[in-house]
Amino acid sequence: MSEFKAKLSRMWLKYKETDGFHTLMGSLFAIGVGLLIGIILIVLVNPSESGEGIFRLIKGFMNHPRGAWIGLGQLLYRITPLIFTGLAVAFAFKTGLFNIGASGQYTVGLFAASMVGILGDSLGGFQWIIAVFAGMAAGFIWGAIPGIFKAFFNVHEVITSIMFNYIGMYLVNGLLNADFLRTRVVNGTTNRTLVVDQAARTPYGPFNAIFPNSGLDISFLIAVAAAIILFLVLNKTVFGRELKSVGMNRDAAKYSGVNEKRALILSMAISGMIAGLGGALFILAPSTRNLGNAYAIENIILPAGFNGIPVALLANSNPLGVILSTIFIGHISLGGLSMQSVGFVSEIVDIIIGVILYFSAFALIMTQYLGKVKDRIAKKKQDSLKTEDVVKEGEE
Amino acid sequence: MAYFISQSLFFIIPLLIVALAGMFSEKSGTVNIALEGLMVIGAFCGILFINKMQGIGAFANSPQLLLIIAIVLAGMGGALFASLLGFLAINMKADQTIGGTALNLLAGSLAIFLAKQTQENHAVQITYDKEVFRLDSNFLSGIFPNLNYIFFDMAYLTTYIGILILIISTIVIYKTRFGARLSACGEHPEAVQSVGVNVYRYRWYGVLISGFLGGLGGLVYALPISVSFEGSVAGYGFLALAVLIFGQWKPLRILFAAIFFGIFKTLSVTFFGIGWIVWLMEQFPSVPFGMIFKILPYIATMIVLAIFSKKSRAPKASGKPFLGAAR
Repeated sequence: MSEFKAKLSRMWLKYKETDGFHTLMGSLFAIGVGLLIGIILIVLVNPSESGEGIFRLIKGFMNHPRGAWIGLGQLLYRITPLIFTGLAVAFAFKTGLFNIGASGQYTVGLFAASMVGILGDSLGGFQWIIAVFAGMAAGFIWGAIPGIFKAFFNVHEVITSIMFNYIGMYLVNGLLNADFLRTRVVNGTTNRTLVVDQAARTPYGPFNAIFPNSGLDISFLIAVAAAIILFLVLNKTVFGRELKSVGMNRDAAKYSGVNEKRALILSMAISGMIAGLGGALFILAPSTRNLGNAYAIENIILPAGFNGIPVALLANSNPLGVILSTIFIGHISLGGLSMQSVGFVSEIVDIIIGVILYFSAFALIMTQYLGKVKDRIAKKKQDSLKTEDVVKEGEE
Repeated sequence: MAYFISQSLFFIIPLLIVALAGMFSEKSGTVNIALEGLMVIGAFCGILFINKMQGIGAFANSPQLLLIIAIVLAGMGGALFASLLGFLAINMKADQTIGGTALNLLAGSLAIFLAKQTQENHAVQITYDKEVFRLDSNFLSGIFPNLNYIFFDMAYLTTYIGILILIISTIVIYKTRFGARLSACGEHPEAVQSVGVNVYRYRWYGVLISGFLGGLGGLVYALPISVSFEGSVAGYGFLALAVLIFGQWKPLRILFAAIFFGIFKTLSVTFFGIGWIVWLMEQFPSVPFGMIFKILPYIATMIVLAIFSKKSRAPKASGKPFLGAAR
């Protein structure tokens, strides 16, 4: 038993020196500051109700009227698209690219999947699977475009991504407004797309039994699987290492034999594919009461892609961390919604998330700096001990 | 045509100002992805001030003075907000992308939060009367009716402020010692440090100027296009970022980029009033012209970028924290 304890403490000491630990400590520090500022705001705005407000904020998903358990299901259902856009942004970051175009990729993925889901009646039981692949393919292509522009024309991926957010949105809305699709897939009175066929909806899997009527379907499992796969690709494969090496130094990677143009395009395309997958699974989800989701034809860029950026950054672009950061953000967002009924505006939660992100940016630096200072002190001690030894040797 | 040009100015001028805002920051070495947030904060400060003053009937006889004060307030709000970026990027040497994204998030939510706290019934909209700010002058209408329409009747003071900012920015960057040092801090900060100039200070100048212009640009964008502000500038900050890169971090090329994009953008909202396009639409009823004109500004920008970007280069040290000369 004591041996086990010693082993555990050794592991702990080892873990304490890793970057992962520093990131975690930094994130926790930032979360603490963010929540503190949120609580101060709540107290300032309405002191008499502040107790209830803070309580609801912290309770998060547990505010659900049907209990904490169903609330958890609802939380996981709501955050699933965000996990995908967060993963998309994180993957691109890890390979040295800033994919600010996840919104566009998400939108085209959503569009392609819903077209298969509405028009592909003849596909039978495969309809939802093919719809998912259609969404991934659309996202892949939309993500590849900024990669191509960067690889061949030296255009910064940020500018192309921004432009293709708009192009994607206007293209999708334009196609939906063209006569051919307008008459087949659009509900004219609500100006939204029709919901997809029953056969095109993603199955609930085990979740309808576990979290009845919470809306949660197997998309969440796919999200977790995607995170694990991306983590393994980035950290355990030659392919992943190549992508990362191009991100770190394009020229060096080129001279060491990596096809840097291909790697660059693939990085962006895979990132886009994940965002497109998120869009597809959102529109194919059976949703809370099995009514399906719909896309509103408005000239607004969907926020899902932009929201992936803080999620990814908060997780320091670690794919597995993205799941945790998304759960956290989803949790306090639900708390914010619940806060509204006692008179607090839900934007307090967005402020909290912004503050957390702000502090997490330098919390990491601070913890690393503290670590370095400690090392230096330890080294100095060692050095002075060594010199003492030398002096002693000299005396002898 | 006169209508077209006067409409296009509402796109071009704010894009120009905000892209120049980004230029000052990036030239000094700090990537400013928070332009969107700066615009939101600036527009919020300026429009809230106008809303409150018009509410109590102040400045009723001198609307242009009210506008000027609002513009200054917008700029100061932006500069104050940008100091958060400066602290993070310059003093704490933290990741500028994260900092900028955090500020964008904060700006939007802060503007809506404060709007709900300051407006009746927790309303998000802050309303204002913009008609009083229109120059509405006719002093050239006898000789050049079109010019008068564009620059003196339909125009706002903000058009001239935008042009003034462009001229001053060009002179500052190319003709002053301050501009040369600022640019050097973004190219080779170690060299700047070695001749005894404080890199941190110049980077702070860059970020603060950026914040001032970004906030000002937010108000210039939001004021003429609507009658209320709802805590968003609809992605214009990101478009300005694109214009900045399109303009290769050079003031006059930024002007060209803003005009190029602005004209196509104006076309996308006015094409159904242009004779030959209407004729084309009647000839080819099956072609989705609406969609094509909406996409055109973005596609055209990409094509131009693809052709001219081969030798594109950002300020070398932009985005890299300055760690001091001790190496």
